[in-house]
Amino acid sequence: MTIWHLIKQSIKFHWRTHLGVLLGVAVSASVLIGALIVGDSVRYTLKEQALQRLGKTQLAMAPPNRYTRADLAKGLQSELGEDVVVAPVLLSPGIAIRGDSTARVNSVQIIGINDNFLKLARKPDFTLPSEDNVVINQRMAHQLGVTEDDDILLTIEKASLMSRDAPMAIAEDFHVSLRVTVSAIASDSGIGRFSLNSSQVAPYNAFVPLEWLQKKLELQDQINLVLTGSEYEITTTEANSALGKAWELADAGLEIRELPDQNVIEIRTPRIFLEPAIANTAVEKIPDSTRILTYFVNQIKHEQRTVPYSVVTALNPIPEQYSNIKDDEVIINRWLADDLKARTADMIEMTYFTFGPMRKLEERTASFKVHDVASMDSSLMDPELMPDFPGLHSVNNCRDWEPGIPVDLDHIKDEDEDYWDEYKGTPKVFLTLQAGQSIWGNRFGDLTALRYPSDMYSITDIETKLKQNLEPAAFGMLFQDVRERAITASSRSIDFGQLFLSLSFFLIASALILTGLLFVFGVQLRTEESGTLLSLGFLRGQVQRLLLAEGAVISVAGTLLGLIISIFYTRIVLIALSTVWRGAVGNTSFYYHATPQTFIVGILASIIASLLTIWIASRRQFKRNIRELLSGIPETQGKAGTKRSSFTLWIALVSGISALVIIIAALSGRASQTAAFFVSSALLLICCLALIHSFLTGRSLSIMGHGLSSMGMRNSSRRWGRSLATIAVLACGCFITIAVGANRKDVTQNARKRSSGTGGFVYYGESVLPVIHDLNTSEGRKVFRMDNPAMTDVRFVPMRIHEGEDASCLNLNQPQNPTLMGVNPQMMHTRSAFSFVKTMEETDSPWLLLNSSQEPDTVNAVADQNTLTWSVGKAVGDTMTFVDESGKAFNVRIVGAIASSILQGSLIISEENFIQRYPSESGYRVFLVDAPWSWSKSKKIDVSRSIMNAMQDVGTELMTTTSRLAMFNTVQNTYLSIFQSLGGLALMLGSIGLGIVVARNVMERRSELALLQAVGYQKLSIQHLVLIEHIFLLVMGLVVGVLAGVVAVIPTLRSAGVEIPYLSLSLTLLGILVSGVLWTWLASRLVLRSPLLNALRNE
Amino acid sequence: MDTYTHSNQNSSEKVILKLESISRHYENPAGESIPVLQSINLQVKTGDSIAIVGPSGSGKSTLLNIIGALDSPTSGRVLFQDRDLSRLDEKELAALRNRQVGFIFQLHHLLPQYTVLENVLIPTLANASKNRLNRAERRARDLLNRVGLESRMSYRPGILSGGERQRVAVVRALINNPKILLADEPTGSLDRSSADEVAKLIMELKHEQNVTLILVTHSLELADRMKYIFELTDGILKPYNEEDSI
Repeated sequence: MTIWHLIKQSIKFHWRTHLGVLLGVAVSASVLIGALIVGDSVRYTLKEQALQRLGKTQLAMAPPNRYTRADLAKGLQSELGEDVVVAPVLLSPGIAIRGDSTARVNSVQIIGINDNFLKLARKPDFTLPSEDNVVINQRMAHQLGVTEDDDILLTIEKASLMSRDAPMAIAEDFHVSLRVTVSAIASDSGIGRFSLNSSQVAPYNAFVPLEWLQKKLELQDQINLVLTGSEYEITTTEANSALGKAWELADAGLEIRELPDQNVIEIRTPRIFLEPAIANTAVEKIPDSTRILTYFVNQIKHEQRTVPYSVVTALNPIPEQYSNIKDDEVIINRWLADDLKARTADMIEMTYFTFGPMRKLEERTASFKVHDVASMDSSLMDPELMPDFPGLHSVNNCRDWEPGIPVDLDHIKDEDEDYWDEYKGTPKVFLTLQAGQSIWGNRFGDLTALRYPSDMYSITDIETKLKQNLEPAAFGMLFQDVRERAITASSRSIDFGQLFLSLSFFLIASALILTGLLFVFGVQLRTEESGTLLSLGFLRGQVQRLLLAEGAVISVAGTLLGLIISIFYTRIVLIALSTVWRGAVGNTSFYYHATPQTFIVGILASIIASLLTIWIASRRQFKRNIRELLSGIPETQGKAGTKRSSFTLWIALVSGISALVIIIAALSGRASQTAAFFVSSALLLICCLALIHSFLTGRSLSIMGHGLSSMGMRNSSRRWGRSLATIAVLACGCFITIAVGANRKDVTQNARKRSSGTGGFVYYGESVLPVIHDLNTSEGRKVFRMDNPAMTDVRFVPMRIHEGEDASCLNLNQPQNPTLMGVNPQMMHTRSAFSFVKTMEETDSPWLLLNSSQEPDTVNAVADQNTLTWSVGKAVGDTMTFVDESGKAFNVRIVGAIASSILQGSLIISEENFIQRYPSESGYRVFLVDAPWSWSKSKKIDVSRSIMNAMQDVGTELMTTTSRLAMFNTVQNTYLSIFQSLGGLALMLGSIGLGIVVARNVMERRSELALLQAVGYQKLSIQHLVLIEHIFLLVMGLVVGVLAGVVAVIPTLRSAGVEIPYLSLSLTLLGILVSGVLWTWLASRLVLRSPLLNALRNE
Repeated sequence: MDTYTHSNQNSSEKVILKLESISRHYENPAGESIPVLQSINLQVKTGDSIAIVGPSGSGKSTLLNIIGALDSPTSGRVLFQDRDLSRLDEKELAALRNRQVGFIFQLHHLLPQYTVLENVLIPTLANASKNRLNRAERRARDLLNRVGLESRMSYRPGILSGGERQRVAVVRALINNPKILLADEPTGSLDRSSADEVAKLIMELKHEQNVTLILVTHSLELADRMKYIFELTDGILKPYNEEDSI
């Protein structure tokens, strides 16, 4: 015979007692392991989605706001070899409208592809569409309600090589609408969900032939994305090295040409202004340059005579004969001198536009003295000095001009027409470069061309030198490992395992407490056995180990049972996450997936937790005297006036006072209220439980009188541990019910307040295509035909977007590259919009912190607190690294956290910093709309419709700020629902626990109760006694839980936008009370059903 | 202070147990000290049999528990084979209970989940090697045969009669060849015939196994089977007959 044999026999014999323990362990194990598997499943799904959306793509090069030659892909292909797939892509945002205009999808990715793209699919499920055909993905097909052969209308942003914000850029006619036929629907579980951004929600994708798209967008041979993938791993170093060899200056938007008449080689760009980084490198590395800045001025005036719309050039060096020209002097050509009747030393005025944000044109005037008059056959008279200003350069007639600035063609005289006919864009005025740059330099650059003597350099020389000295990364041409980024984003996603563990904490705790209770009952039934073993020479440790070994076997068995249940539990949770709890995950379906490691960790954790519980619960049992144990009488615990009682009184006092101090500190603003009140509530819970402990173990019970009620209450002290555990479980359950219930946010309350999460704005709008006009001006509104009286009281706060990944709680992945938005801080400051939870420095104007930055290469940002905490995992004071348009890294320092708001999902920097870092990002795509809250609902709807209709060409989607806030709060509220559901299960277990406690207490005291019956008590009175005792526990649990819960939610009650669901909370608490009373009644009735006097006879 | 010892023809036999001024007090809920045993002195020599009689609540079981290291005195010393029990740690006391002392309780305290043979073998598991276990099993079977329970070895205690259970308890007490057998009202819960049977068996086995026996009982009939009888009244131990004292 062995010890193991003893354990086996014991388990077999006591299986009924152990069954309850086993089930308790199984419940806690299934919830614990289930939570971990949920985590695995979410991670696996996100990773799988990442791989689905990328297919075999490993690396991507997507230069921001820049187009490269399609041939670059060919060059890369030859550098990287045939084993690597190199796919050129033209990606453009667009809008899709169903053929009959009954459905519409904004934010569509129009993806121009060739066959190579399909080679990157893991399992291609569509072929390349032919011209005028499109393949759309399932989500888009579902949203539009279209199927194969249906027609849809795609509105695509017409690409512009120069920013639409740039001077002379054409702001109108920037989109093209194309009617196409759906040739196939691509699956969302394949390359159909292609996207470079991580999100568990599939994008809207429309795949069209690359060449067809290039033609339609007038971007022949241009692409803006190169994807590479291979069977073997290709590194960014390899790809970037290949890029270093394959790129050409044209990919950087540079044009090198020879002008034989002028004997020069010229560097220029279709973007008009040479990017400063390129220009500086060229000037520095290739000597003998002539730097040129050509501008278009509205008027040149001398005395009363004017010449409209002229080209002027600032240059350095100026031809030798004019080398003594000063910065306040100009050289004018003969034609102008004659037209203005101006001579040397006369003053002339030039009027020109400067371009502020929102294409705000400011007309300015500068005066210059005429230094000299150049003849029309001078070398300066060069029409090639004028860059290819859109709407001007290829126009034969002045009357056909359509430049990107307002021109009044009526001002153009016949003489001006003649000049254009004869000299085209030959500049009429020349000035020093310094003077020109000081008035016309802008964020896009301050040179329009660089020229080199052709007797010193050939085109090849210039190209070689430039290529030698320029890095493609400086133009954002850099391969990035998008696969690794996607996998990182999915692996660093919100840990649903941890989340569900936290949400299930009370359920697991309840199951474990129940396990402990049941095990202790079993041990207490075997008190005599422990005494016998000790009397036979077993050590206490040996006896304890024997019982714990039984517990371990039960734990293992319960855990294995829990493991099986956990598989079903996880599936139910995953189904719930896709249905009733979909608000938490944004309509995502999850694949069930569990790793062996999770099983091992889950099993070990469950066994350890249950064993620990069993050990903690039963350890008192083994401290008893052998004599007492042999008597077989379970420990009664209740000892009047014990030291323990006064010790817990001290605990109660200390925790109570601490709670009070923290509350006072929080109310006086010395501590964060939410945290302070939560800590206080926990302390209060401890204080109350300690008081109850003291009450149960102290003398106070003995002075309570001798009625049936006081007898009942006194009985609860017999097993104070059991009573206290019951009260604690119930109190925790009530605490959760209140804390969670009251934290549900109602966004409608206080929504009109500037301090609320809506910022006081009525609508939040987002457009697919940029809006480059100021919608607060009548000119801007005219463009969108919004200049009607109904819009008078409507104001817009526009925001720029540098597209990145969604960093809101709607994205389960951890964004590696969050979206950046640019706003004018003053517009937010004057409105005191939103509340700041924390700022880096004490200030009354937190928005203005965006304007200041202490360190170079560091930009200040604010963000929603939820975005910071849950998505990007940063706090106020932290920095994140971004890469600007020229490939240069810069830091974004978080200087403020906004309380839960509609601004979730991105980091917000000042517009000034934004355009400095991303000068090519045109216009605005996010709009916070102010309108009087007092407006009637119908008026608000009318206005929103009118805005949406007016801006439908730019794909504007407008939603009320309360809806947007509700969308974010849905996530939080869904988590709360999950927490409450699991808490409800915990309470159910708590109620069952109460029932078990009642049954056990009554069974233990059957002889005592029989005695009462023997001395004349009626059975009903005895049941009344039992009920009072246990309802006392129930009420205590409820009171303590409610008290602590109310303290925890005081900050919520005081904050904006909160609606306490008093009714549902009261009903839940009533439910707990009723269920508790029911279990108590049922258990006592069941046990008291058999004749009590038998028990007395047995004695 | 009187010291009681038994006289023995063979003066060479050693004192196996010596109680020196043993007192035991309990504290009532009001915090008052209630004396149960008062300054008890006793010397027991190897192989003797002693009965302690006395009314209920006189402290007999307490005294037996103290002798068997199940309880400790408030004051005084228990010397077992000249070893002061108060100086032994828990492990040594457990080893003493396991190897040197055999206990027979009024309520047999058999473990209901195990068979008769397993119940008998339980003490051997507390500190046993495989060889010892094998020897113990042979001895258990022999002893059970000896007490007429050979056909009951695989039965659980629940289906045995009271007398049979107590016989199992006696065998269990002897399984480790103890030096001293302590019996607390071993026949107290049995009917007369079973009680006689068990009493006879205990005495036979005592002689066969050459073990010292201290027995606590209400039954003078049982006490008369012992060589020496002591009476415990109000916590004070006195010889029941004059010849039992020195």
